[in-house]
Amino acid sequence: MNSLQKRNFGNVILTVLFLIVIVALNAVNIITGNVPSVISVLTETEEASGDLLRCDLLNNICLNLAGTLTKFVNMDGYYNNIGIYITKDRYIVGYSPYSDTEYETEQMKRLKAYLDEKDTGLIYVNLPVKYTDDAVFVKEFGRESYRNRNADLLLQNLSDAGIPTLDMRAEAAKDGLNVKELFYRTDHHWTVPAGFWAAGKIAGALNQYAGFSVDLSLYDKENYTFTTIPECWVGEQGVKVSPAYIGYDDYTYVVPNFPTSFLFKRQNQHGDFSRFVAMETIEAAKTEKDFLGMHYAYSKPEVSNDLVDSGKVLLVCDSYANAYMAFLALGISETDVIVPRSSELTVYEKLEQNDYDAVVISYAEFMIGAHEQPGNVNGKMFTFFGDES
Amino acid sequence: MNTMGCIMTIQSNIFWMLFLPVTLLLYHSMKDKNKPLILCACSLIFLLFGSALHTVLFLVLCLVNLLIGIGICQSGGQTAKRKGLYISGVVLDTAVLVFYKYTGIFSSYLHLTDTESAAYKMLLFPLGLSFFIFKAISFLTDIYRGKVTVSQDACENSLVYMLFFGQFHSGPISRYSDMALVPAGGRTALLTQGVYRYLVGFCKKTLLADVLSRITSEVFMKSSPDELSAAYVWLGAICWALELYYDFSGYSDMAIGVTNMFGMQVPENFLYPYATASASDFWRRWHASLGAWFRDYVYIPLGGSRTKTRLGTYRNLLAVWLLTGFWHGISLNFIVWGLGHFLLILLEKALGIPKRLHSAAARIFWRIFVLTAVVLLWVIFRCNDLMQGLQFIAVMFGFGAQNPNSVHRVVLMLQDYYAFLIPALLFTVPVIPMLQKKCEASQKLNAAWNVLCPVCVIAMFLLSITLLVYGGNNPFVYAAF
Repeated sequence: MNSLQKRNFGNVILTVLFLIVIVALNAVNIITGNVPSVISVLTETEEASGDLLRCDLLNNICLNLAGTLTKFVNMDGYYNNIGIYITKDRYIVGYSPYSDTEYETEQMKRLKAYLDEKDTGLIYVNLPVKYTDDAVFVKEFGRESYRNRNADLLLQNLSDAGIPTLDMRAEAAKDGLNVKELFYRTDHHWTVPAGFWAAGKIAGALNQYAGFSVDLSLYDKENYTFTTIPECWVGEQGVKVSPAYIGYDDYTYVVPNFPTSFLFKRQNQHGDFSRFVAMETIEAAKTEKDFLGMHYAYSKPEVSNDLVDSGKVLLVCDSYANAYMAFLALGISETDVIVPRSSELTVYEKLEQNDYDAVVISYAEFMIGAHEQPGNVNGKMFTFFGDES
Repeated sequence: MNTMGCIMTIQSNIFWMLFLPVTLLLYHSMKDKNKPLILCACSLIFLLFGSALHTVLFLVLCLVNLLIGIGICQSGGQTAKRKGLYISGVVLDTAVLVFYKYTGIFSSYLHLTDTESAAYKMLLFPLGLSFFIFKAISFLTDIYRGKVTVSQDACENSLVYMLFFGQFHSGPISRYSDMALVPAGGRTALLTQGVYRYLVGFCKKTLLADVLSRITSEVFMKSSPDELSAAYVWLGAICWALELYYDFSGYSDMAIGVTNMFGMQVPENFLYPYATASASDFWRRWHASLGAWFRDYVYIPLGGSRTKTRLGTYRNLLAVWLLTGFWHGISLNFIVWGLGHFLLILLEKALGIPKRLHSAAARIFWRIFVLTAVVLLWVIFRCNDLMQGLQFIAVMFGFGAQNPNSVHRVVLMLQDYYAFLIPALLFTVPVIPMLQKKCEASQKLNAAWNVLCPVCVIAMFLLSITLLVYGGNNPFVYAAF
């Protein structure tokens, strides 16, 4: 027998296995209805070809297999190319390049000057990320992150410009909290309990800097019920690396034990606190593991609080506000919300249309410098007037 | 160089899940005389997945070359006519390649920035054009030299040679005579061997090349030497050398595998080049079909080594290496890369190395020297420009600031990627063929191998698919040339 004949049997087995794989995958596509038309495949881009393996079933299997492989060989750095870094205690973190924060400072100063003319208060709230010391990032990943240093620089510049600031990192340190525990492991957002805690701090800052008289006892924990659903969801970052790799997060929701009443402005309807919370999403998470998007179970609609008669605030925020806006609104008469990167109106236009007692700009640290990064969706967050080039 | 991404390559899911099985079924159910026609039709459909405009271009070029080839054959003893037709064909093919290679210059001159405009799309580099032109020139030259005969009755074979989808995008640059069908008795064994080859190539590309590209893209993305350290750049350089090898040899394996599945055999394109003993030998092992093409259609026609003086031989070598550099691109780093290899080969010829190296130590030293030089030249090849390449090389030898963070990154990357780096280094030498040969010596071992090997290969293939779905796929590096 020559070499080719000796190998032939093995090659035949391989060919049969390959055929089985082809038939099986095509069968899955047909059964799940994932059959792109020949025409769409001919006319669309490379992605159409990949669609042959992107029905939900195969997608999940492949993602989890890839995650299992990377976990098995401890290949944590494999996801660095999509900005995902895994700490030793399995938190997903990211990094930011250096920013001189000049643009952000100028925009804030310009906004302050405008609000001073309108006799409206302004507070900048710095929301933390999962590490408060950039050196930690260097130590764990060998690359520089400037998230905290950019925030330090901006807060210093704002302070020098006479703009009141609230640094949640310092507040966490004061209260003896480990910043990391305020966050989900698999999502860049912070938890609902963290948002609840932050709402009390922001309310306190409104009292201190904007002359508000929010009843801070509203934010005593005894007035709320905390319920935890263990290991029920995977965050936005986690789904990119699969639950098989990173695991699941717990979800804790918080509801007040006292009566509440709001006018939900957009729908022009009254309701209580429960209207901020998508309870059906939370109920589903109790039985359906791998449920996505839990952070957005709390929403941030514009409201009037029927039970509070003073204080009108414009909250200029990012998606971190989903975790705290509802709690903040408990102590304020009117709370409006604008997210500059996705709003049809600019902050300036919003302010022109309404009078507020205070404006709270509340951003996570990775908004700082975003406008310098091409393609970064957060580039518009510090663009308040719409005419900035 | 402007390029348009192709919707289907021989690695695409739609290719191995649909196109290949359907084409194979059609092909093998046909009689031999109809097989070329089916293959032509399927190749045109394959090209249509990319661009209808470019498909027409390739078809026209095919027909023109075919007509010229037929004209040369029918010229008989009319030497002037034969020569005239041949030179016209070669000049036309070369002009088309040069035009599209350097249309970036025309695009900027004509201020063509609208990527949706017809003018812009017409100037896009047709993927596979280089290898198509190489084949066309080989076709005409072999006809001119009398090695190949074509007639109007057997046009399909010529079209198959030039258009065959299995080799279209990045070679190997086979010869017309390579594309003959093997006798019917051996086709089943060749088909199954082709499947093995295809799957191995697929795994090489996805599990090794694409994973290692994580390291190389991080290192070579650094714009400032202050962010680098010697260890960091050496790691990037070695990983780049490995990535390029597995990317290109993986593609070649897939292309050879597909060719085998259709009952044809082509010569090997990669023969463990990093196990080379000399720079000259390296180019008989790395992209062997390109080296053979330049040897047969540039070097030898210029006189090769049969010149009156040694200087003549060196001049011919320089011409080949300058052309090779220019073929990759008009950028200075490609030219310097080509010249670097020329100098290595020149050195060996001038000093009679490695023939004159008798001691094992000297031969080992020369192997290490050549391998190091090859890696350094790959650094220049990879960098955005020559200046960046030279900066990187300077850092590799300890010049300039050595960033401590990047040293730390080296440790982390080695921890992260050891499971892929170790096999990548190991398989640069023929470990699997040696193991296979040992197993063939015993019936029991051979039987075990025949069961374990396919199971391992299919498992690796499934892992490759999972990484592709995740999104960890890069386009073939050499498709851009």
